[in-house]
Amino acid sequence: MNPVIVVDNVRKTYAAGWRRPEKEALKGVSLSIGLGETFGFIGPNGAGKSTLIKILVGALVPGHGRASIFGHDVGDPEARRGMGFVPENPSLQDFLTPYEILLMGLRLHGVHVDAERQHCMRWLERFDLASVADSPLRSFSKGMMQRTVLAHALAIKPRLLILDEPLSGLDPVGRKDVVDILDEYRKAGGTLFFSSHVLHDVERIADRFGLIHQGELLTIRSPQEIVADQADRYVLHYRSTVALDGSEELRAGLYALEIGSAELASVLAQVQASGGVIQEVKPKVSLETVFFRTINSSPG
Amino acid sequence: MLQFFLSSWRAGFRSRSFVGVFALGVFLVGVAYLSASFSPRQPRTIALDVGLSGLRFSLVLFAITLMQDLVGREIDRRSVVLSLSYPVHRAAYLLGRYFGVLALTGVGAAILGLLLWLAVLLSGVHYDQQFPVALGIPYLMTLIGVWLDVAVVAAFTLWIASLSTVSMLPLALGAIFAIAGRALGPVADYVIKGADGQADLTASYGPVLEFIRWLLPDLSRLDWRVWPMYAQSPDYVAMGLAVLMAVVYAGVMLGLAIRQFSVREFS
Repeated sequence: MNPVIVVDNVRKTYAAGWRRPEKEALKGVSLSIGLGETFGFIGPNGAGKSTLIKILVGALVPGHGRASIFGHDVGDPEARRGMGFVPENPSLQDFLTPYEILLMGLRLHGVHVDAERQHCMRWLERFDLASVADSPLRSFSKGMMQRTVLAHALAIKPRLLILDEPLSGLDPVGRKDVVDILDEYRKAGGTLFFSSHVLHDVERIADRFGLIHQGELLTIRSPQEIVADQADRYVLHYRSTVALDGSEELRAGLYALEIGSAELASVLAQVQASGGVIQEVKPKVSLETVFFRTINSSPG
Repeated sequence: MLQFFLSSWRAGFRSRSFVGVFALGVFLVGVAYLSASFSPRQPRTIALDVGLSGLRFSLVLFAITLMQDLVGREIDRRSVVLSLSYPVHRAAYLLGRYFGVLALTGVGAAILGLLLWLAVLLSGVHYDQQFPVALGIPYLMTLIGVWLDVAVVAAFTLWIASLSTVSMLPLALGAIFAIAGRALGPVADYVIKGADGQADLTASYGPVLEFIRWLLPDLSRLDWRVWPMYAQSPDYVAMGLAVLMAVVYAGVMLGLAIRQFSVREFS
């Protein structure tokens, strides 16, 4: 596996300021992300996710350790060639238009396309921004700004995407569109490193995920490892007037039942036979379970 | 650098500060035209004098508000993080912004200069002055002097923006620098040449002013308005040295800004 991102024992401490104590944001984080891999970075607020992302994009300098992208130290501008980036709470120059933002990205990354305008418009259309392509950004909502930055990141034909909370500020439709586009990018072989609070989306897209808490990378797992953890146990949610044995009533008429994989088919048949409606079958151990279990067992 | 220059150029034209300061400049040119009537014997000279002061004031204000908008505010809002994620050195960002602001103030100087030129031409049309104004090359050179003055103030403001963590500091210090740089020359000349016999004033402030002269550029040396106002041949050597001073000072400020910005962290 060719490493695209290598983070080696990176530490970062924010100096004390006015009425603000010194804070060690990263305590020796190491990880490696390979070509074509999708890596989800999860953790509570203030865990150090954005700090690591800012180090990778060159906005912060590691206090100790080394980080590189495509073999270039992150301090070298060449490390950022072909890297699409979406910051957390993106803000752009108010007086530029989405088309101008995308065009600037293309040219600064040295991306050559036959027809720049059409290329940019295609991406703006994908993010439902074509009708406002030539309108200044100052009138845009947070969601539109987020979609502009995402279109900008993808228009440069990135070999690596680094996204800090890419789904924040998006409505459910926009969120689904973005997840679909990222899924396409992943399937096309692009490398993706993203942080998110939405564990379901991380679970859906990521090949591996890293859980960071209080500046420490507590675990790096893959969905396959989570599946192995769950020991073939599932949770079935169903609606019915009749409760099966061992079910827990969550709300009136809505039940949850934990079952093993061997009995899954027969239990589903029983629910249907009793006139019930199956709502959801999910693994007992999800990313959410791992998240809380790992956070709660950490010494901090 | 070109892309940052272009984005500054586009953003500058659409910003409210451009419209606001341009309106102020037009107003001040109008004031210059009206002021001509205060001097029946030298209407054009007065209009030119008042107009050039208004033009400098507007352009300096324009440059520091633009620098505040394009660099100070971007840093404050953290939108600079996205600009710095491109595969270019941070110096390209700063230089692009700086030359963008210079180009915009150049356009402002050309438009306001043309309006002032018309205002002066239309002043006192029925009266031949004893000392006619020179609205050709001397006027053009005076405008270039004003633009160089603005270039120095803009470089200083950029340096402050590159290190400031307070959003309005570049605007405030840029304005103070512009006033101080302009007042330094006349004040220093007055004090160092004896202050009309006030020995204590010379003794107290003379050494301080001598020291400050090494820190602040004397922007009054870029004010060549006497040339078009009275058609007096200028001291070309002094003009050349003033240009050299402006270029060197702006270069030093840009160097400091790049050095500071290159190591700055954006958390």
